[in-house]
Amino acid sequence: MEITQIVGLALITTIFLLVLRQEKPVMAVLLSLVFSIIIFTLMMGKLASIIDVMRELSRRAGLNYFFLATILKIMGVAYLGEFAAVICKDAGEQAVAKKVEFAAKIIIAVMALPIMVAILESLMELMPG
Amino acid sequence: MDVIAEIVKNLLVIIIISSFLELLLPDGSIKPFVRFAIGLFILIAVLSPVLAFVYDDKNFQVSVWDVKADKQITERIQESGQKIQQQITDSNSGLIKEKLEGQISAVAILVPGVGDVNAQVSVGENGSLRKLRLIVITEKDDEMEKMEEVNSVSGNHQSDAEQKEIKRKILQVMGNLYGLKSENIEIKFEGG
Repeated sequence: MEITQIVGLALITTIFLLVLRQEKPVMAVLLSLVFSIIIFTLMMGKLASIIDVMRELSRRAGLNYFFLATILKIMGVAYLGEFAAVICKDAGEQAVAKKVEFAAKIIIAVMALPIMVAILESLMELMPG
Repeated sequence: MDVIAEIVKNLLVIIIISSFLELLLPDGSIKPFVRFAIGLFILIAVLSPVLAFVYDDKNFQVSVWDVKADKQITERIQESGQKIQQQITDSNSGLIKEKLEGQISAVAILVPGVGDVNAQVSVGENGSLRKLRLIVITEKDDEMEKMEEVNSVSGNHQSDAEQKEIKRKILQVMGNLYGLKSENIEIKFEGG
């Protein structure tokens, strides 16, 4: 079972982190980063299969392909942003974490902006006068 | 009716997919932004077919974001692609067959006891070897003929054993070289 491996790894990492945070905080941040990367890599294959299923479903339903492409991009930005922000918070750098979140929000807004403009313009066209 | 059916179908698929993807999102301050983007797509899914139906003559910007692959066009492209592939395969399969038969004959002739081999192959759509039929003409040198004369009392047992051995070796060689299973290989003995 994969979850047992992950739980085991998480417990070991947590114990190491408890010790390292007192003695060498820099190493603790590095260990936390390595753990996050390992989990991310382990789940990458499964995430890819979920995305493949979603893509196939939307193709079969004849769904607008901009939808899935944009949503997946937005999700990717959100994930990476959160990932980096949490690591920064772990290292005690709240300000940097906030900046990363801010950047992720702006990028998502930029992606959604053309859709919003298109909707608004269409509605404006319908308005009399 | 078609418009309503399209709206309902689009909405259902968008909501199911987006709510599932939303589950995967990390709990953070970015989540509302993603929800907002999903909301915009739901708006488009409703607005685009309605506007296209009500205002036939107008071209709204919102329709640009509702591009769908036309099923008929996609099917036509796939069909013509398959036809082209079939043409390529057909033109090459004769050549592939000829080459394979030559190769197999040359390999089978190396098996001890085999004088000549006539190979007939059937090739799959992608040019892969499906079935193999070998007509083997056994080799009989003077020494073997003498041995047969000596063993003539015991009937045809010696030649049967020889043929079995040749068959086993050919099956082994073909299996190793071409990945063919023994049930796909037919071996016939002639003359000798």
